[in-house]
Amino acid sequence: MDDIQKVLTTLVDRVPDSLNNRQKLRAVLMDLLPENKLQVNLLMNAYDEGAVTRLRGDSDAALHALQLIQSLVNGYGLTHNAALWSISSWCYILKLENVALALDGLQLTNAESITGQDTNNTQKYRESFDLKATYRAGSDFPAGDLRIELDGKMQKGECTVSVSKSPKRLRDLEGTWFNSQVYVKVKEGDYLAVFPWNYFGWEMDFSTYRIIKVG
Amino acid sequence: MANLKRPGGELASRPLHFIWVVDCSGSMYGEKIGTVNHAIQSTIPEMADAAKDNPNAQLLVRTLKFSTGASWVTANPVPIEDFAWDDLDAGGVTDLGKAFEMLAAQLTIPPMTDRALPPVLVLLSDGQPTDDYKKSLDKLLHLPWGKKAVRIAISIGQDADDDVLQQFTGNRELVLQANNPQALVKMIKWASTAASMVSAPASRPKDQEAIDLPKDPSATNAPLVLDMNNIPDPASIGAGDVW
Repeated sequence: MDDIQKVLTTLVDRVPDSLNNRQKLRAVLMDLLPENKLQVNLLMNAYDEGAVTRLRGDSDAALHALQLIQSLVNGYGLTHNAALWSISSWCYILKLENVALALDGLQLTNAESITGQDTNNTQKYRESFDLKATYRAGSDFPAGDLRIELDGKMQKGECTVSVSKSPKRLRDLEGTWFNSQVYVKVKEGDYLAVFPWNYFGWEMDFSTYRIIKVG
Repeated sequence: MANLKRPGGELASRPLHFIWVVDCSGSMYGEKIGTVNHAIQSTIPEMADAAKDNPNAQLLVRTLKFSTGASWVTANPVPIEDFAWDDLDAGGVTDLGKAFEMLAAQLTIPPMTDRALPPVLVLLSDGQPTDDYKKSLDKLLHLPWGKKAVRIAISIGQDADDDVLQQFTGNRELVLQANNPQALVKMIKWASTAASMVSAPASRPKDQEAIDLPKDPSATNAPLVLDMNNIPDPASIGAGDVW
């Protein structure tokens, strides 16, 4: 829990009705975090995405948290870490500390900050990648040693990652099998695709993955 | 006309309480509170000059600040010529209800006297009340002096709750919009002139001024009319940075 999140844990006790009124919530957040407009906006993005209702619901809060993170990345263009921070903070606000702690463990290991700036590289790459689509190193994602992380876990089946100098017939190549994450080395200009191989048509609750440069 | 004597001798001056009610919550931090400090400070000489022109009113100024809780910056009303502005800091939440409660305590009789000019209350806020303000606002507006007070609000930025401010003023037109520093300065200056409007017997023909004793406003239900024609138009003020 960071210093801002410590302040946020007092939100509901200080202004209990702030969660029911968007305008009031924003005003209270601005009172509590006057020097942290970025974080206020991240929290409001999550609020607009239904974070309070979904995390407070009867069903699995952790699952909702992961889905919300993905929604923020896809729908609002947030970096993964920014979305993660936002949802983790909401978990602290709503006293879902176990979920928040689990999310804190998912922080990316690279130098990406919640401002969306990669401190090692000013080139902007995609934040999220769709299964089955083809992407190019150097334009869609950085070349080098990469970790590929699925945005969910294959319950039945596995994925393959294929890398080639040509974008054609990537699916037909013998790829590397993995279940949740895998490390690959990709050169500038290479093409990459990830394919799910889910047995018996088992439904998957995710359709995206992330690429993190590790070396 | 110049030699006409007032019946009963010189007119005793009556107190005119002017109260700045300033939101000092965290969201006011930085440029907003800085602009408020600068603008109010710069109005003091003008208010003092205007007060000199109205010998029948003794302009008494004080400041109430609110954030997490509320408190009087100046413990007692201070004559404008002795008033000095203490720069305010921002931090905490927006306990507007607490501010209304403290205003109500000061507008009851006593400590107010029943012979005074209508007080002027100028509320500046950029946010939403975080406490239950309705009860204390209701109490304030049911006091004789609370009811008769000239109540002006300056709504700072786009997150301010104009509905609450309108409940305070009782009039949409007296909720002045200030979405950038330039507008805030102009609105504060306009609000500061309200004191001279209250004390000036504008509704009487000038040639009767010397022989008519002003009526005690506390003894009449006639609403005090402010000339709102010269309220600065926010649209005509350069946008600059919008809050």
